[in-house]
Amino acid sequence: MADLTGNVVAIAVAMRWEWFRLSRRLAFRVIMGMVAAAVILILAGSVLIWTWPGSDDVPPSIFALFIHLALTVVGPFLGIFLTAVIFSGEYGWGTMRALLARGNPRQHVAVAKMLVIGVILALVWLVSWGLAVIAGVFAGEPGAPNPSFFDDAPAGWWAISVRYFSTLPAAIAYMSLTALLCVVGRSTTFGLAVAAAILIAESTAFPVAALIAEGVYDFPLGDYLRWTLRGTASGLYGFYDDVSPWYFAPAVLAYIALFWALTLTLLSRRDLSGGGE
Amino acid sequence: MNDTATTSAVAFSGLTKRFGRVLAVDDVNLDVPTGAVFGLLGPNGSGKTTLLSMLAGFLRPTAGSITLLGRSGPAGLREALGSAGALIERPTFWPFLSCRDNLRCLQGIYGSNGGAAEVDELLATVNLDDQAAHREFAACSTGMKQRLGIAATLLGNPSLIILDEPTNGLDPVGIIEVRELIRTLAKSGKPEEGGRRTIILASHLLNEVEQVCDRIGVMVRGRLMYSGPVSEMGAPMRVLVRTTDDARATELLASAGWDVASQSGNGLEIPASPGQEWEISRDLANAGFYVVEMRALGSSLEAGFLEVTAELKPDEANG
Repeated sequence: MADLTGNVVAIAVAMRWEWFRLSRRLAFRVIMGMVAAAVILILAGSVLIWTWPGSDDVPPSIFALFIHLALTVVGPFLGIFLTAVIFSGEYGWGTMRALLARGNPRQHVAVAKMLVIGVILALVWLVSWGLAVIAGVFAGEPGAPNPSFFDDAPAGWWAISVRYFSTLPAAIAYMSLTALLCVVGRSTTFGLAVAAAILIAESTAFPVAALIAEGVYDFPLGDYLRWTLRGTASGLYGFYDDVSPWYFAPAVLAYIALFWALTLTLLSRRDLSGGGE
Repeated sequence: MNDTATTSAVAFSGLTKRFGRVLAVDDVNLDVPTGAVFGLLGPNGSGKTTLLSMLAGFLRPTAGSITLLGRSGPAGLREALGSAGALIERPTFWPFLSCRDNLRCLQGIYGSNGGAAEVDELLATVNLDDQAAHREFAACSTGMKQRLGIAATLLGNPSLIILDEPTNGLDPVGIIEVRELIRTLAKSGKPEEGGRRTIILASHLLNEVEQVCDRIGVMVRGRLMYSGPVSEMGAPMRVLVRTTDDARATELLASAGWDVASQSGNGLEIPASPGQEWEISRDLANAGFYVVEMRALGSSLEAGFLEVTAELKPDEANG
């Protein structure tokens, strides 16, 4: 019990100083500024649609739905960029050594970093959700019917809330993948480039490969690709009609657990060179 | 070659590190006594930094064991490292933070509860003024970075300080200041530890080690070739003295107890310890002799170092 308390306290202290550094970084402020600008722009766009003549059927939940759609695309990239900023810079500057001097356990450092990123992502989601709800409440009665131009939108605030927050675990999964890649490559460039490349390749190459496999070879590749990282994330977003989004939740959590386990194992076993590699 | 002592701050036993086919540290056995200022000498690439990186927990030994401040094993070493400050290879800090904020951040991470007073005191100790303390690390000169690195090793008043080439990048004044600081730090240990602090100083500068350290280890191509007191290493230093009458001076110096090793047309060669030159000059002056020239003919450590490193034949080093 004392060990557990000690670990929690040590990680909390590491998180505090992680935030101390992060709050002073220009790159972090730029990313957060861009996210804030995007949320405000989307809400402004939603207001425009809501007030457009002849748009009487548009419900207040459109505000949350639009931000959800944006986060579906932006969320994983946000996870990747934040991880690159917070995690891998330590290798470039050689400051991982400073963090691990005095016998600080490597796992504490890594867990603190990942928790800080997770907390920031959760805050981004919560704040943008809050803004969407506020905009929706001011716009009119909640629970109005779906907009006619977006037929597959879930009805009501509960359904849209579930779909909205489904993008958060996906962003955390890509954050965890990037953390692993940063430890593997021991550089910002490697972690950022490879994670972004994987995400883009998944988003573009997988659908094309599935089309070719099914069209040319009559092979249902798409069914297998559902279990890739991107496939499970899309499933969680509710992109598949035949199964519930909840069906994919364990798979996304398993990916997160796998990436975390590999990151911690690799970090704790590898030599730490002087940095600047 | 082993150096044994009753109380060891650091003990390496059969310590070996291999990077692929390269044997960086080869079966090192060494004890660093508590309270010693231990110099680790060796040419570039001799394995000094690798040895110290293993001690600091950054590299994992391929074989052998480390005992640090009486503790060994992974958990014990981690605990002991809490009382050991290390500056290895180069100072590494967050470039976007000021020198002061870097120290504050590390102070928090290392769990030192000295507060702002400790940070201010350390900045003053390494002669970083207020303007420098508020400068971003990225904008600091090499010397300022090095000073900040030394300050960081002192956070939490550690029992052991590991310094790898601490005077790199410093100007001559800075080098002298750091040497003086190391001497001061050695004598400013915790009262419960007898007021002495153990310092391990890696360097390839012989005079730096000779001026600061009381014990040394010499590494060549990953092997520890010598360890022991500085004073016991190698041949004694010699001083060349030229006077207006060398023959008469030889007699006078001999009667004063000096061992004049040789006399030639170029002057007299006298074995002497560092700092004894003035005594030779005094004895000659008392007898009415004027010294025309007096200079050291190479330090004892230099001679000893060359002797020790010559022991390793090229074919032995390739293993």
